[in-house]
Amino acid sequence: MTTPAPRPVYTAARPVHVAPRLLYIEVRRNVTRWLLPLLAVAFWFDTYRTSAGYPALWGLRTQDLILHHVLPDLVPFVAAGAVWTGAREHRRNAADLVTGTAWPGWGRRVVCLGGALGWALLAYLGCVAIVLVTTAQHATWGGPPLWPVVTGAAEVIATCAAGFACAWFFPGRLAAPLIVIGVFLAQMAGFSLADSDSRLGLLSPATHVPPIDVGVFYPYLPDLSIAQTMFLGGVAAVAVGALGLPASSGGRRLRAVAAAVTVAGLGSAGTAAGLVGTAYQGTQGVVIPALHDAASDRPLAYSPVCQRAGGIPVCVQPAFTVYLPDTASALAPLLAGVAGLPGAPARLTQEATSCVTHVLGCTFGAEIATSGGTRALRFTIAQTPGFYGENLAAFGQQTMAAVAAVLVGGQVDDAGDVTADPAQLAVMAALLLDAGVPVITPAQADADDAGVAGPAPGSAAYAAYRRLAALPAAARHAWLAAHLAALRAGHITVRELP
Amino acid sequence: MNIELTDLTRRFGRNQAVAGVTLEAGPGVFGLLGPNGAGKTSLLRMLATVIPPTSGRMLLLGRDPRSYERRREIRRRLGYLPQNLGYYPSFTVVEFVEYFALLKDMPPGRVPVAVAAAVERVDLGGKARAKLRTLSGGMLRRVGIAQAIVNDPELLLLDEPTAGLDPEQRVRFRALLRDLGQHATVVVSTHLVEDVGAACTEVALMDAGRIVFHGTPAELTARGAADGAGDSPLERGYTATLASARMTGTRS
Repeated sequence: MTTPAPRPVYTAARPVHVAPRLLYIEVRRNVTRWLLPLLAVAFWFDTYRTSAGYPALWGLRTQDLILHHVLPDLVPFVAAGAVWTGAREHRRNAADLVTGTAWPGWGRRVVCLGGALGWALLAYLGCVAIVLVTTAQHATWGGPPLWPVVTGAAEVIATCAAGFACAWFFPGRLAAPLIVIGVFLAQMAGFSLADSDSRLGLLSPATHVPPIDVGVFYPYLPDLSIAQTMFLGGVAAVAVGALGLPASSGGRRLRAVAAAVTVAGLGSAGTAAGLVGTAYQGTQGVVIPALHDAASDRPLAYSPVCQRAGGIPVCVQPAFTVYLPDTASALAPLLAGVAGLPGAPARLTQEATSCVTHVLGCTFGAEIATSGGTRALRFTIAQTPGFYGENLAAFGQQTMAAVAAVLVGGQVDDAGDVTADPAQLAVMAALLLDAGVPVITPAQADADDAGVAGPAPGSAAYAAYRRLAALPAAARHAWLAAHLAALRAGHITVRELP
Repeated sequence: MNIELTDLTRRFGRNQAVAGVTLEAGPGVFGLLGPNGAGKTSLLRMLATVIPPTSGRMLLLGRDPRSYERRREIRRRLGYLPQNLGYYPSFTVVEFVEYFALLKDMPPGRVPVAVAAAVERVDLGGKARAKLRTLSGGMLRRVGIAQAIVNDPELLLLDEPTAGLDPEQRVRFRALLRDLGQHATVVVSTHLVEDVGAACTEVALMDAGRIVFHGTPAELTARGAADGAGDSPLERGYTATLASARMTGTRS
C-alpha cells in the first residue's frame, strides 16, 4: 500500500451528471441480462411461431402478438429480474455501505431499478422489432399502430417497478418466487377477466383481443390503449414514488416529491379505472367516451383489389391482397352457378367485421345491397384462410353458404346461421351441393360436423333438395332464372320446386 | 475537531449499545478497542450517519448530521468500511470502487483517476478487472478499504479493517493508515491491539457501551505494567484497563 497523494479538493457533482455513469454500471451488471436467452427461447417458441400463422395485418399482429404473446412471455422474466435487483441491498448485506454515501436513497434505488428496466425494455423492444420487421416483410397495406407498443412498454415498466418495490420493501428469501408467481397469477386473472363481463378486466392488456381487421377499415381505436397506459403508468408511478417515502430516501423536499409522484400514480390508476367503467363495445372496438375521438369513426380510404371468380368480381381491401386468389377460387364454384341470375350479386366486396370482442368468436356476416346501381354482396373475412386453424375450404363453405342464402332470400346472422323458409333452404342446399360444399343434416351441424346445414332428412324440404340437386345444372339455372324473384319473396312452396 | 460527541447514546429496543459516550478527535489515527458487544460497531455506524443516536449531541467535521443537507456534506467527506462488507459479486473491482465514488458525489471526470489511485493504494492494481466473486476474503477487505478511501475522506471509519489480511498486507495497511491520518481523522475499530500500537496516535477502549479509557497507546501500555495479562505490553494494558473498569462498574 503506497503513500497517498495530496488531498484533492472537489466540489460535489450534481446527481444529473453522476446518474448516467451509475446507470451504465447498473445496466452492465444487472442480473436481467442473464434471463435474455430464456426469453429468446420463449419468444421463438410462442410469439415467433404463432406469428407464422397470422395474417400479415399490421393492426392484428401489433396488438395481438405484442399484448397476448410477447408480454405474457416476457413479464414473468421482467418481474424476476426486478425482484432480484430490488432485494440486492438486503441480500448482499450492503445497506450500511450504501446508506453512508451522499446520494439520496431514492435516487440510488431508482438508478438501480433502471438497471433492470433497461434490459427489460431492451428485450421488449427487441421482440417488438422482430414482430414489426416480419410483418413488414409480408404486409401489403398500412403501417403499425403505435398504441399497443406504448401500452406494452407501460406494462413492462409497471411490472419492473412494482416487482422492484415489492422486493425492496419485503426482501425475504421467498419474495422473489412469491412475486413472480403473483405476476403470473395476475396475468391469468387478466385472461380470465377477458371471458367475463367485468369492465375492470379491460385495464389489463391481456383482456382485449382485436378483430382480424383492426386498423384496416377504420383507424386503430386508441381509447382502451390510452386507459390501459394510464393505469399501468399509474402503477409504475406508485411503485417508484413509494421507494422514496421511507426516511432513508432523502431530505424533506425529495420525499415530498416522492409523495407527489405516488399520489399522481394513484390518481392516474384511479382515473383509468373510472374511465373503463364508462366503456362500451363500439363497432370498431371499445369506446371510452371521455377519450374518444370522433375522427376514429371515419373509415379509411383505400382502393380495393379485385379478381373475377365465376364471372363475378371479388374485391378485398388491399391489406388482404395476399388472400384474394384463394378467396376468389374458393368462391368460384358457386358464383359460376349463380352468375346471371336475377338478384344475383354483380360483385362481392369485403367489408369490415362488425364483431370485435374476440377473434375466435368473430364469425361471418353477409348481405346483398344495392350500391351505385350494382347489387353487391358484402362479405367479411373474419377468419382468414389459414388463420387460427381455419382452412380455405371452411372459409369458402362459409362464404358460399352466405352467398347462396342471401341469393334465395334467406338471412345470415352474425353467427353465420341461416334463416330461410323450407323452399329457400332446399334451393340453397342444392346450389351448395352442386358447388361442392358438403350439405349436412341439422343434427350433424349441431355436432359441429364440417359442412353447411341443409333440410332435415325425411322432410318435404329434404326431398325437394335432393330432387333439385339431381337436376342438370342448366335446368336448375333455367328454373331459378324464372322463379328466383318469387322464391326470394317467399311465394314458392316446397311442392312447387322442380 | 472532526469528531465531537457529547453524551451519545444508542438503544436497540431494551438493549443499550452505546451509553453516554463523550469524545473528541482531530486528525490522526484513532483506535477503538473493546471486547465483543462493547458498542464499537454501533458507535461507528452512528459516526457513519447510518443510524441516528437515541440521544446526545454529535458534530462530525463541524456539522450536525441531524440536518439532511449537513448529513450529505458529511457523507461526501466520509469513508466507511462496515464490519461486514456487503458487495455485489458481479461487479469488477474498478466498477465497485467507481460506484461508491459516484455515490459520494465525486465529479465523474475525476472518478477514473481517483479509482485507479485507490485500487493501487490497496495493491489491487493487478486485479482491477476481476469480478468480486473471484476474490479471496482478504482481497475483498482491501476492495472495501479502496471504496472507503476513494474520495480521500476527511473522516475515515474502518470497522475491523485488517480482518482477513495476511501479515504483509497488514503491515502495508498500517503504513497507509499513518499516511491517511496525517490530514484526516481515521477511526479504526479492531480487536487486534498490535494494529493500534503500530498505527494509532490515540486510542479509546470501550466496554458495555462506555468509553473506559481514552489516551495514547503508550498510556494504555503503561496501565498494564503491573498486573495485565497478555503477550504484548499493549495487550496487558488493554486487559488491565478492562478489568479495572469492570471492577469499578461492579462496585458502583
